[in-house]
Amino acid sequence: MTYSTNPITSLELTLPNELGYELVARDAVAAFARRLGMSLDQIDDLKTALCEACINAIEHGNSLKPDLRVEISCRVEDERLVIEVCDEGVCPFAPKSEPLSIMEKLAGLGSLRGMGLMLISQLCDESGFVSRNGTGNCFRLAFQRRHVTRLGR
Amino acid sequence: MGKSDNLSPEPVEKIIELRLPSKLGYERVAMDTAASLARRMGFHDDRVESLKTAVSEAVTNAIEHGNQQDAAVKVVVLLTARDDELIISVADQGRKILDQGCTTRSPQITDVLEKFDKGGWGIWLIRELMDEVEFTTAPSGGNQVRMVIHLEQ
Amino acid sequence: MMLEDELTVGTRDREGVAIIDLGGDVTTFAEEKINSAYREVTNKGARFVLLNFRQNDYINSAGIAILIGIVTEVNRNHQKLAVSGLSQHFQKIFRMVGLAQYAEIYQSEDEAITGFKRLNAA
Repeated sequence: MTYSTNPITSLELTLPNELGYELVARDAVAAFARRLGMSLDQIDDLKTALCEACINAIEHGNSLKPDLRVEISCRVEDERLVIEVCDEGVCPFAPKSEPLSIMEKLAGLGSLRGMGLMLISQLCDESGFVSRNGTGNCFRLAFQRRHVTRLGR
Repeated sequence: MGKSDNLSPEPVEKIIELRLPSKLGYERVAMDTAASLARRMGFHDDRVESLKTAVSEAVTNAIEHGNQQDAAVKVVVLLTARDDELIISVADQGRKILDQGCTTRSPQITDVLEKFDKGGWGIWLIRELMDEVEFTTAPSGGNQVRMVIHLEQ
Repeated sequence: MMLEDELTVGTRDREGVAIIDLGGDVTTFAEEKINSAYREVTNKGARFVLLNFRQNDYINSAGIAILIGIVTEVNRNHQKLAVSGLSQHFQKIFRMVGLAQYAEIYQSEDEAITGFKRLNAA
């Protein structure tokens, strides 16, 4: 089976901009990843990373405004699962020239937002903000798919 | 959850929208998403299981019949959470229009045993398991089923 | 590639009961596997057939249609059918559909074996 850029196997999801709904998104995307045959430990990484990305969108990009939406799209590109989490950009992401170290963060310098991003970068094969048509921030997470090869039961 | 009074007649609604590929198996994504939301709303386990079966049947019908398993077109699932109920609507593209006669039939196992086709339980199960069920036409022109499950305290 | 919820079917004999173990989703994709397991035990002369499910698996209406097909064959072949290991929810569904009229529902495999023995002695 080949997985070239495949618009067919895709999932789109929109959420209310309220903390807590990232958990519903997590369960949706985890179910999608299971359908793709991804391994359970990779799905665990994906769940944590996705929640962090959603929380960033809800708290920062959409500034906790309850009428806004968070959009999530998941698609298979070659052997990768690519997830994008987009907000409406009330607060645009401004990249720091130099990321703070954990020591600086623990010392209270900089926001905790960076912690979420740091955690995400540890869990994904690729992550970062991408440019997007229109307004809003769009954060992309990509996972190289590691398949379940045997049934572990 | 806020008490309703005369001053605030509008119920607070939270909407999650899900767009799935029309491929059998992906109904699992809708089932897990609906279950995740319902658990957060406080539905008991047995109600969550009923909801999962109803969502499975509605989405499977949309994939198989309404969208003729053309994975490139989407099944659209809207989950609307209110204080006292969860509304699930499932819409397809209407490649095949649902025979309204199917929506009220109650199959009997003694008859079904004699027939070659032993199916036809899906819509009946949805009606049995959900509190309100309505078959309408989606904005897309396709089939739409709207199901409501009440939150009993 | 194998999905974790893809159905696995196994057959074994325990005290004269042909057990068909079903682990995973019982949906439209399960038809060939379940029917061939049933044919296999029937060809070996099984009189008592137990469909042993695994809690929390997913059964949909297409799966129910497959099981009704098994009931038809069991009646034709004068066998006795029982099921075990279903979650509370799917026990309820089996009763709603009417499958419980044709297959005794047991909580566990052990209870089913005891039930079949009682039936055999009667």
